[in-house]
Amino acid sequence: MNRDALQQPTVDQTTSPAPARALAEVAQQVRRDAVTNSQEYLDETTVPHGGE
Amino acid sequence: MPILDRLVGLETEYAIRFHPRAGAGEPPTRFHLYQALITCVKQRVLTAPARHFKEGVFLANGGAVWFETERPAAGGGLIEGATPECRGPSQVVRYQRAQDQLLGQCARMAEVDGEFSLVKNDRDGRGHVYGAQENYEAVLGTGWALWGWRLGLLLLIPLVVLMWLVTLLTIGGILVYYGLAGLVYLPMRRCTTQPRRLAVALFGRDLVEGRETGCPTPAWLETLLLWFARLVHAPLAVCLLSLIHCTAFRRTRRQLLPFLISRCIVTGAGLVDDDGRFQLADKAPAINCLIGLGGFLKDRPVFTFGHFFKTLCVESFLSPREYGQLFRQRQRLQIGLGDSNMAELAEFLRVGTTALLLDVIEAGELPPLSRLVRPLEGLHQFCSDPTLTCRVRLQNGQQATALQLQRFYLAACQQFLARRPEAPEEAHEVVAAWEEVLDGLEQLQHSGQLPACLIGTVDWVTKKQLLDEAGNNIPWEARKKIDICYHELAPLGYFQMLQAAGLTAPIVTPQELERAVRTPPPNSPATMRGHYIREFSSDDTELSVNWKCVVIGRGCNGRSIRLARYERPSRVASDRPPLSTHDRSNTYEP
Repeated sequence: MNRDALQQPTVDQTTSPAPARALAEVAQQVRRDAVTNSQEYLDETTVPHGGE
Repeated sequence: MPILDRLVGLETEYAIRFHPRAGAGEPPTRFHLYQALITCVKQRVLTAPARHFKEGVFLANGGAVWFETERPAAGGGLIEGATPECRGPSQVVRYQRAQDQLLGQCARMAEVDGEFSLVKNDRDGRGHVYGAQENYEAVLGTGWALWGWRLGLLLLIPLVVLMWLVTLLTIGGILVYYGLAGLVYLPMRRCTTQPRRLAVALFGRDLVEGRETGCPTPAWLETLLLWFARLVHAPLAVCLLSLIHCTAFRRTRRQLLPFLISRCIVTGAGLVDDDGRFQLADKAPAINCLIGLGGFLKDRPVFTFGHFFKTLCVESFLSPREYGQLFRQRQRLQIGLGDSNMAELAEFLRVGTTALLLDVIEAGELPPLSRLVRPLEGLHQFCSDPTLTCRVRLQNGQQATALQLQRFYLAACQQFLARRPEAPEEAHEVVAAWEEVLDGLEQLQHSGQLPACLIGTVDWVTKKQLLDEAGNNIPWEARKKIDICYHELAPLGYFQMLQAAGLTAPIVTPQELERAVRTPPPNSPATMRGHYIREFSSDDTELSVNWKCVVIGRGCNGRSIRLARYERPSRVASDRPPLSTHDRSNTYEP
C-alpha cells in the first residue's frame, strides 16, 4: 500500500506549479471531448430501468 | 471486539456503454455483452458457476460477477461486481480496484462488434439509479431487541410458508401458460404473416431463438410477474420491515445515521442534476427512506435489508437451514447510501470511517448526539450545498453543518483509539486521512475555493473542478457527459485521464492489484471459496459456488462445504502488510 498517498496532496499550486499545469491541460481535453457527441454518449450509457 | 477486523464487502453495479461499429448489424443485447465480458474474464482468471438465482460466476479471488436486472426482456441489465469478504478498508480497496481493473479491461477486450466499456457510477443521464452498496458484518442487537428479532422470525414462518406456496402456484401457472400459448400458437402461426413476432410475444426470445438471450419470458409477462410478485409479497415485506424497524440494528442505525447523512462531503462522487445544478453525491438525492428492501417496493433506502427478504423468500425456500442463519447475532448490515468512488482515498475513507464507527458504536463509546429532525431532508440539503455552509436542525434545537457532524464522529474515533493502544496502524491511518480531508474541506468552507489538496482524492471536488474549468456556457448534455465520463473505466474516462497525468493518489500498488485479481483474502469465507475454485475449476469436476457454500459434484453425489466457519473475526492471520512493505496476501492457508 502506498502510504504517501494517504498523506500528501496531489495537486498543490503553492508548492509546485507543474501539477496545476497538468490539471489545466487535462481539463481542456475534457472540455473539448465533453462538447462532442454528448447526447449520443448519454444515450449509450443509459441503463434502462436502473439497478436492483 | 473487532477494531476494523470485521467482514466487509462492496457491491458495485457498472453501467454498460456500447458504441456499435459503423455498418454493424443489430446491436447486441446487454446479456450478450455480459456473456462476452465473462468469456474474457474466464481467459484471465479461474472461475466457477454461481449456485444462485441470478446469472453469474465466482472468481478465484472469492469475488463474483453478475448480470443484474429485474427486467431482462425489457432491455434492462448491468454488470455487478462483488468483492470477496475482506477485513479492513485497505483490503477492500485493493479488491475493489482489482475488480474494476479486471472488468474494465475485459470489457474493452471482449469480442463484440463495437466499443464496449463499463461506467462505475450511480445514475445515468435519464435519472435511473443503481450503483454501490456496502456490507458490514455487525451485531444485529443485544438483550430484548435480539430476542424480539428471533421471536419475530418465528412468527413470520406461517407467512413465509404461504409465500412459498404462492411461489409454487405461480411456477405452476407459468407452465400452464406456456402449454396454452403453444395451443394458441400452433393454429395461429398459419394465419399470420409474422409468425416469429407472434412467437416472441407468446414465448420470449430465449425460447424462440434457441439460445440464451437473457429474456426467458415475453416482456409483457415479465412486467406482469414483477407486479404480481410485488403485490403477493407485500404483506411479508411490510411485516419484515416492521420487525426490522423495531428490533434489528436499532442502536447502530440511530447512531450511524447522522454520520451517513453528512459523509457525502467526504465520499460523494458529485452529480450534475436534471436542472444542471451540482450536487455533492450521485445517489443521495434519490434516497427516499431510511430502511427498505432496496427497490422491491420502489424504495431507495439508507439501510437496505433486501438480503433478509431474499433469504426468507428464495434462499430458505431452496434450503430451509438458511432461515436458521437469520437467528444469529452477527448479521450483514447493508448500506445503500453511498457512491461508487473513483478516487481510492475516498473509497478507503468510505469503508474505513464506517467500519471504525461500527467499532465505536458496538463498544458503546459514542458520546451522546441529538438526532436529526428530518434526516432525509438534511441529506438532500447537504448534498445540494457545495459551499458546505448549510445547517440542519437537531432535535435538541441546535443546528449543525455536515462538517461539524463529521468532526463530532472523528473526535469520537480519536478518543476510542486513544483508549486502545493495541489498535492496528490501519485504524490510525483512517483517522489521520479523515482529519486531513476535513481540514481541506474547512478551507473550502472559509474561502469558497476548491482546495487543490483534495483534487484527485475526493471525487466531488475533482469532478467539480473539471466542470468549473469547462465553464457554464456549455450545454447541459456536455456537463452531464463530464459527470458520467468521469467514471468510465477506459483510458478516455476522465478520472483515468487525471490518473495518467499523475493527478490522483493511488494507494494500491500495481503488484497488490495483480495479486488481488487471482488470490483471495486470508481468514475469510472467500479464502476457502477461492481455494476450491483454484483446485477444481480447471478439471472436469462439477463445481458450483455461492456466498455460503461450495458444492463439489452433482445430485446425490454432490458434497456441500459450508464456509461459515471462516466468518469469525480473528487477528491471527491478518494479511495487512506494514505500509512500507509489500503485500503478503498470497500466504493464505485454507
